[in-house]
Amino acid sequence: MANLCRILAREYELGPPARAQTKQDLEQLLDGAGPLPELIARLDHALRVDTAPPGAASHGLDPARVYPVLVADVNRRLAIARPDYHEGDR
Amino acid sequence: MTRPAARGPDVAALQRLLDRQGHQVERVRIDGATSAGANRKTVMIEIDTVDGKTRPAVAQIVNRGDTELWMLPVADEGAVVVAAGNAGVPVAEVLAADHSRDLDADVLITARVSGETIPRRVLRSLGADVGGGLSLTRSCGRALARLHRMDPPPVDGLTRPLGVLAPAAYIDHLTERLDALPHPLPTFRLGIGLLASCLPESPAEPAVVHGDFRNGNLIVADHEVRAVVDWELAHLGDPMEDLAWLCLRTWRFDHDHRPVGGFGRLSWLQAAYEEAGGEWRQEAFDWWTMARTIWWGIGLASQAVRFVEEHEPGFVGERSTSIVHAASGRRVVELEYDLLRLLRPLLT
Repeated sequence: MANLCRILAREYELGPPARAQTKQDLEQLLDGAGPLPELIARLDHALRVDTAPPGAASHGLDPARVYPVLVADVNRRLAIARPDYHEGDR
Repeated sequence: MTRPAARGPDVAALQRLLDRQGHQVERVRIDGATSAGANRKTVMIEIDTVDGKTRPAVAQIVNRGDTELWMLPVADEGAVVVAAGNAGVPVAEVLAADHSRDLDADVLITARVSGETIPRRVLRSLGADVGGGLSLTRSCGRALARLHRMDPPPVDGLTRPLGVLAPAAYIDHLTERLDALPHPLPTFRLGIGLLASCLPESPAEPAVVHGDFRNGNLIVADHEVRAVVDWELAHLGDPMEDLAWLCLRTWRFDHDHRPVGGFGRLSWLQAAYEEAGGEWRQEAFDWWTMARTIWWGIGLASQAVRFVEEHEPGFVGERSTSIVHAASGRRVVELEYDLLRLLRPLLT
């Protein structure tokens, strides 16, 4: 219960700015504005391999450009869900 | 003091199952607490035989609701366990493996093996004992090598051939599972795309693969694997899939300095595996590490969706009231983090 309360407290404090930053990053990556869920869906679609040209790793986006955006987003969400997770990095 | 037989249909149903397998059972008693995982309920029982002996056993009552592509019916799971045991893999003796009409469920009954299965207790028992971790790691390497060197096709007593899982089919399976989620997860989508562009070379012959060999599915005593359990995901495929799964960060239970189950070094596992006749293929190991990370992340997200669906109708999927499923959603971001770290070399 205590852990859950801490998570909720972090979500309250860190959640809105985290989502705002991810939204900004995605708008820049995808070259267009929109609500965050829609931007995430657009990114997901652009990364689909099953509709991509044969041999391509994605449909329309360079994975190397997408990667740092996803890393930043995941780090922000991890800071809310499990801030000590990085300590185990090897 | 003899405990009275527990009353209730469950015990009688278990006894009928054992009788059908030819065991001469006087009665079955429930002996201890039950536990419930994501898809099976485990009950400790004692079997009193007509010759006056008492045999501790474990009954697993299986809910196949959330089925994976290659999840085995219990009868086949039992057959694989028997075959693995004959090949020298430490396993529990199978007493019954069949569908119970009384319980409307598949039931697997095995002899009870002494030891510890709860991962954090296994790790606590090792403590700072490097020798203990070495011994356990080598025990895992030997067990896996013996399994992977087993001559397929198997396995007497199968009701259908074991499924064959190749990397390309696995990519399709991951895509299908990801598409079934109500919310997109672009991290896993990126991973699937990158893995699809660098499929590993498969071994010359597919091997029998456990499919869920990890800290948590090992009965451990005296720093050795006494029995490998939970064989329902066994199939034919790449042995490196098993080795990668064992070493996923999620199964280290915060003992991240020991990649093998939180208790061992990778070099120990590789050495033991090769000494026992296994072939270590690093590129395939790396690929399956990423692929299985994605699989588990999607699996956790699916479990969370099932819980939410129970309390907030409108989502798609089978419902669940399991608190295990509720907690799964919080962990998805950990798997995303792990995957992104693993993907980095593919982008440089």
